[in-house]
Amino acid sequence: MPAIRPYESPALQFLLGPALRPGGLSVTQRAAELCDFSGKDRVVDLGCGLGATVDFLSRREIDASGLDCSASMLAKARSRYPSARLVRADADRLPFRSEILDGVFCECVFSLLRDPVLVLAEVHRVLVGRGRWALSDLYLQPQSHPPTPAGVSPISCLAGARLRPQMDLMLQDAGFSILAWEDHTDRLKHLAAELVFAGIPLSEFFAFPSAGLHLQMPLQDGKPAKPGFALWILQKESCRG
Amino acid sequence: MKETNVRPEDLAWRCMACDREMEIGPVTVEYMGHRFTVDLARCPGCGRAMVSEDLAMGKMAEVEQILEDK
Repeated sequence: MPAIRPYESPALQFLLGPALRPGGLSVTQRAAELCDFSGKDRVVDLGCGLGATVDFLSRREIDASGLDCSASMLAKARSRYPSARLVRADADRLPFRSEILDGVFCECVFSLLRDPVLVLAEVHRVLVGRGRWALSDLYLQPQSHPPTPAGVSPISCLAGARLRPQMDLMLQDAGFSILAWEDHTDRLKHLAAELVFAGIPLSEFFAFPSAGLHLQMPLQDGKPAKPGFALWILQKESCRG
Repeated sequence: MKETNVRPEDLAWRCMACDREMEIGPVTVEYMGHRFTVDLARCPGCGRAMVSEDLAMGKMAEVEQILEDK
């Protein structure tokens, strides 16, 4: 079991490049299209990691900044993209004034958050009215066949993954409407296959105790679930709840 | 990572068509709409790749199961 988070693994960084998630920048591009950001929009990438999304958005002349809590990831991001505007901060205490951002990106980060409810409130606070939030992450798909008996490490991306209805409800309760939802599980499968070919155990990426080929895990109620990967496009509504 | 999918004995084979020794090189593998570039033992002449039984029954079978959602 690795002691570091999956995205900090040198082997994974080598394999995946600067966009440390399924689909790389392809889902980022799709999200940017759906959000329809323009050149004057201020957008922040929460959990920017190695800075690939900030660079991607900046190249499209969007006023993009990145935020991450990891000093080592930010150091790598600064060396890779010297002109990128990057700041070290926690997502549950965003260093921005209220209603200042037109958009937020949050890619494969939400399921890792210690206090997602606090982060939801913070994102709601900093977005302007009808501001857009592109959120991509792992989610859980209910299955009918028996689960593989396994626990999931608290540092796993899967530890905080939720069923889609739970996720939708959580987002709506926090004052966001769901403009679009797209399943990109095929990209998760592609990544899993790339890991296999590269000889990297799936357990290293998912911090999954066994080299769980089927990527299956039991839910709290004992029913089985499999991870999927999806994109939510959200819009801040004028008031919460 | 280069030799991950190639065993030393795989390079002992020769391509019958070209009569050349196999070498390690990138090969594009396609399955169910997914494309992967994998280093395999291949003929530098015709590009034909050799997939060992270990690779076919191991990693490739694993990848097949992932992509087929089995």
